[in-house]
Amino acid sequence: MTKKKASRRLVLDGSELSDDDRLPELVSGFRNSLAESGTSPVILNLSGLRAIYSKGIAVILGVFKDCKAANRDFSITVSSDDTLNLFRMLKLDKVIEIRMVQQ
Amino acid sequence: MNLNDKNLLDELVLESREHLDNIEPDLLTMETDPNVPKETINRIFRAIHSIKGGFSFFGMERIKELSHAMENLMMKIRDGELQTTTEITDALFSGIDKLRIMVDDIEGSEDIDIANELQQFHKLGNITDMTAPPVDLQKSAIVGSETITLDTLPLTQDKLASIAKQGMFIFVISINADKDLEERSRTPLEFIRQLEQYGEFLDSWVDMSSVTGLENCLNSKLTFKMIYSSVLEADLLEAAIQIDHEQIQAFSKEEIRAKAGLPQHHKFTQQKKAASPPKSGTRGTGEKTGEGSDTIRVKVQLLNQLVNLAGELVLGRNQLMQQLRSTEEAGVKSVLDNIDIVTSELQECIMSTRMQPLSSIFSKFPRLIRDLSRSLSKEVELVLHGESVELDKSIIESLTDPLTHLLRNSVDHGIETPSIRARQGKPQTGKITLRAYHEGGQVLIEIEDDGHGIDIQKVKDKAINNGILRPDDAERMSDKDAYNLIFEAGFSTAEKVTDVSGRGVGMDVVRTNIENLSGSVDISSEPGKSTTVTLRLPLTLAIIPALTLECQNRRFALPQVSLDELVHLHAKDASRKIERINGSDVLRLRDKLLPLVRLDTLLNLTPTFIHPETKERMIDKRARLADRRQQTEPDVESDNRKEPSDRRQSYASAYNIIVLKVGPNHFGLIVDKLLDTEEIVVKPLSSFLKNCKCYSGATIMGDGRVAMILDAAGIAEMTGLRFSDIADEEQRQATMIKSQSLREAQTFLLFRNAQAEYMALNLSLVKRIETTDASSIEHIGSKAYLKYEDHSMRVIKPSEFLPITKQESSPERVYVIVPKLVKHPIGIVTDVIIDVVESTADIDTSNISAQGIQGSMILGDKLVLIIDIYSLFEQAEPDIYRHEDYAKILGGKRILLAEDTSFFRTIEYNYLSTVGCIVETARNGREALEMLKSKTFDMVITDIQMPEMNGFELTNHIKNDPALQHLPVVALTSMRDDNLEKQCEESGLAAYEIKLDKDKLLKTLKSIFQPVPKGN
Repeated sequence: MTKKKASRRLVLDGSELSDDDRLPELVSGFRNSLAESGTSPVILNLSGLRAIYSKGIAVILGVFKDCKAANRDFSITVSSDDTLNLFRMLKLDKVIEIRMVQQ
Repeated sequence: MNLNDKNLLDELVLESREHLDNIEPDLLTMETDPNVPKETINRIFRAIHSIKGGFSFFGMERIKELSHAMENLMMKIRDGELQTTTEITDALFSGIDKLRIMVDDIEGSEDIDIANELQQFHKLGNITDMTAPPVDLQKSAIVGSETITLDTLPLTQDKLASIAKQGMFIFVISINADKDLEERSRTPLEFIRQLEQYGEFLDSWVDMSSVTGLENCLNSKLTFKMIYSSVLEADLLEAAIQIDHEQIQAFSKEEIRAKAGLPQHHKFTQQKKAASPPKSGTRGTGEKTGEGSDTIRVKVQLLNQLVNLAGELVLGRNQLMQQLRSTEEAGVKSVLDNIDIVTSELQECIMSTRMQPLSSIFSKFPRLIRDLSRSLSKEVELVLHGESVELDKSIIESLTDPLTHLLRNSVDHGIETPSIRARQGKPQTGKITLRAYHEGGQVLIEIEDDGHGIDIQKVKDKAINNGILRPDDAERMSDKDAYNLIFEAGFSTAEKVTDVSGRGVGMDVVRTNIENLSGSVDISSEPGKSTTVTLRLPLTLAIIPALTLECQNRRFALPQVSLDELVHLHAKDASRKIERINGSDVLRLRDKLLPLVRLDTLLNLTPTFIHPETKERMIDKRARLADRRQQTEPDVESDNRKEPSDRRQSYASAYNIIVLKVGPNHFGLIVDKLLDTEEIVVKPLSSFLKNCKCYSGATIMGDGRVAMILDAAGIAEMTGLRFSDIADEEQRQATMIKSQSLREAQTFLLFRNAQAEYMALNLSLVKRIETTDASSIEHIGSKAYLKYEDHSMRVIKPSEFLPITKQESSPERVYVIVPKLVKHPIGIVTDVIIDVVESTADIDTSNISAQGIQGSMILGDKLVLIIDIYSLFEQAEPDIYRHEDYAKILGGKRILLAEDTSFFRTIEYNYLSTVGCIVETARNGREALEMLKSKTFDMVITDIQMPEMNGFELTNHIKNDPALQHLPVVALTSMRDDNLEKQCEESGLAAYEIKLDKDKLLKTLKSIFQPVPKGN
C-alpha cells in the first residue's frame, strides 16, 4: 500500500483512491506511513488513478492538511488529463503542487 | 422599447423560427426511431430552451409558459421517465405550431390561448406545477454561511456582458459531496460534464475547511461551489442536475446586465410600430457570438439593393464595352477586360448571396407528409434528395405553395391505402421522393410517388365532361398531352372532394406559379406504378444570360433557358424542309416536325426583306414561308436561277430559326438576325404592357436602347400553337414508316449459270448447298442423280425446264442446291453461287412469266428470275408434285388472303390458285375485315405481323363477330416458336403453317374443308 524509497521521500500509492470500500484501510495505511517517515517530503502517486470520487478528494485534502500541520512538503503526481483538469477546476493546483507524469 | 431592443427582438424571432424549423425533423426522428440518439433529444431540448430564454428576457409570458411546459416534458423523456408515444409527439408538434403562431405574431402573442396545449402537456407529463416559478432574483446569494455577490465572483465585465446578451442566468451551486455525489455514484468530474450540457461552467472551488486531516477525512462534510451560467431557470436546473432548490443561488438577468454595464431591458409592450430598417452597411444584430463564426445576418432589403446595383453595374459595363470596344488607345483594352471580369465576378458573388438551399423548404415537408398520411389513414415515407441545391431566394419563396400542393396530391391521389397496396403486392408504406438536381443550367425538382399512377382514360373522360376536351380530340391525343390536361383550370380526377385535395383547383395554379418563375412543369406516369411531376426552374430571375436578336429593325432578348438550338435554313431549302400542316408552317428537323412562328407576324410587324442587289428594304408579300418554291422542285443541276439577284441564294434571305422549348414541346421562332449572347438585367414590365403575353420583361442594352424580353410560353399561347396536330402528323408518319419496316425483307440465294443469267431462290426454301464434281452426277435415262446422304437424289439443271439459255458445257465442279419444305427434294445444279442478298422489293409478274418462274426482281443492279420451286419440280416430277387431290377439295373455295408483303402475297396467291381456289387479297388486317363485311368467303388465310391490324387482331374480330365467327382462319408465319404457337392456339385459329411450305399448307386446308371422319 505504501512504500519507502531509499531517498528521503515518502511516496504514497493512491491508485486505489477510487475504491470506496478500501478507503478506510488506505487512510489507515497513509497515517502509519506518515507517522513512520518523519519529516521527509510526501508524494501522493495518483498516476494509476483514472477517476476520483469526492471521498478520494477528501483523503487527498486529509493528507495535505496533515503534511501542512507537520510542515512537510507535499505534492501529487497524476497521469490522467481528466484528473489534472478536475484538480485545476477545483483550484487544488493553487495550494498543492501537482505534477503530470507519463505512465 | 428602444431601437436596439427592437432589433434584438427581430433577431430573436428569426432565430426562433429557425429553432422551430429544426425541431420538426428531430421530433419526427424521435417519433419513428425507437433508438433515437440522446443528442437528438438534447437538441430539441436546447432549441426549446433557447426560445424560452430569449422570449422570457423580453417578458413574453405566454411563449415562456408554453415552452417551459414543453421543456418539462422533454426533460422527462430525456431522463427516461417518459417513453415517446404518438400522443406525446402530437402534443409537441401542436406546441411547436402554437409557438410558431406566437412567434409570427409576436405583438399579439400574449392574447393567444395556450390553455389546451398546457393541459395536454400537464396530462402527459403529470406535471404538477406548470408555471415557471419565479426565482428570487433580487437578493444576493447566501450559500451556507458564506455570502456571495456578483462582485465576489471571478467574472470579468466582458464575460458578464456576454452572459447577459445571451439571456442566461448565473448560478452559484453548492454541492454536498455525500448527498449529491457519493450517494448518486457520480464523480465531481461527471457532475461538471452534466452541467456543461445545459450551459457554461464558469468556475468552482472546494471548501477545504471541512477537512482537517486524515483522521476525520472520510466523515467530513465536503462541499464544492460551482459558478455556472445557463438559459435554464433555477427550477429546471434543479431537475436537470438533481440538486435541491436551496443549494442553488441565482442572479437575475437584470442584476447581471447592471453589473455588466448594459442598459436595463424594459418589458416589451405591444407597440405596433414598424421596425426601422438598419442603415446600409450596418452589421446585423444577429451576429453569432461564438468564436469562429463565419456568418452574419443581413437584411434582405439590403441584398435586393445590392442586386439592383449589380444590375446597374452590369448595364454600365455593357455600355462601356460597346462604346470603347473599337478604341485603339493603349492600355484601354486591358482595363476594359479587367472591368469586365471583375464586374462578372462581383455580380456572381452578389447573386450568390441571394441563393438559398432548398433544404429551407424541403425541411417542412416531412411534417406535412406525416400529418397528411395520418389524416388519410395511409402510410407514406418521404425521401428527400438534393436539399443542398440552391436557388434564388425569391424563387425558393414562391416554390413552397406549388410543392406543398403537389405533395398533397401525391399523398391524396397517388399513394393507395395500405390494404390496397398489400393486395397489389406493393409495400404497405408508399414512397414519395422529392428530388432536386442541376441540369443544363436549370434546377429540376421531381416529385415522384409509387402510387397507382394516372388513369389516362379517366383523365380524358373527365376533360370531356368538363368541356375541356372534345371526344374526337381525346381519341387522337397523345398520353403526354392527356397528362397535361391535369393542369387545366377546374380539372380534378378525384372521386370525392377531400380536405386535402380534389377541389379542381390548384394544379392550374401550380403551373401558373411555376411559369411565372420562368419555369415549366411536366408530368409523366406509369399506370399502376408511379407518377412523376417535374419542375424546371431557372437559378435566378434578376440577371440572366440571353440571346439578343433583331426582327424588323427592333431588338429583342430571349432567355437562354428557353432556347434549345439555332437553325440556319438557307432559303433555297425552304420548300423542301418547310411543310404545311393544318394551315401552319412546320420545319422538318431531324425527322421531327417543328411548328414555326414568325416573330414579325406575331407582333403585327410588316414582314420585309432586304433586296440583295439594291439593298432596299421591301415588303415580303408571301403568305407562306415556302411560297413560290413549292410548285416545282428545282433541279440543282439545271437551276438557272442561281444569279446573285435570286433571293434564295442570298445569305440575307436565309431563315434564322430559334428552337424554343415550352414544357415538353418545341417550336421554331423565325427572326431576322441573331446578334449576341449576353447577361441582361431583367426589368419588370410597366402596367401598360403586363397583358402582352409574349413579353416577360424588358432590359437595357449596351447602347442604351430598350429591348423587350420574349417569353416562349407566352408566344406559344398567343399563337395558339396546337402541338397535338404536330404530334398527330408525326404519329401518322411514324405509322407509315413502321408499316414500311413491317414489310418482311426476303433473303434470296442468288446464283447464275455460265451464260450469266441470274436466278434466285428464297433462302427459306434452301436446306443446304453442296459442291461436287460434275462427273459424280450420274444419268439414268433422261434423268440425272447424285448420291446424297446415303441415297440418290434427283438433280436438275434449271435450263432443262426454264426458258433460259441451255448450257452446252459444265464446269468440272458444280453446286447443288438442296431444297427443303418440299415433299420430295430435287437438287438444283448451278455453275456459280453469287451471294445471299436481302430485299423488300416486289416480284414483277408482268414482264417475265413461265412455268417454274414466279416473276422477276431487281436485286442489286441485276435482273433476277425468281424460281417457283414447286412449279419447277412439278415439271421435273409431275407424278409426285401434281396436286390433283387438293384441287378436288379446294377447287372453287373462296379464300381471303391477308398478307402485307408483296412477295409472299404473290407466292401464296399462286399456291392457292394452282389448286383452283378463288383468292382475293388484302394488304393488312383492317383491309381484310372491310372485305369480309361486303363479300363472302370460305376461309381466311392471314399473315401475323401486319400494319394497321395484325393477324391476331383480325382473328379476334372475326371470332367475336356472329356473322363471321364460323369462318376458319389459318395463319402463316415465317418461323415457328413456342410462344407464337401458344398464342396461335389461344386466339381461335384453325391452324397455322410456315410460309412457303406449299404442301403442308394445302394439306392443312384440305383437312379443314374435308375433315377426316371420326373413327378413321
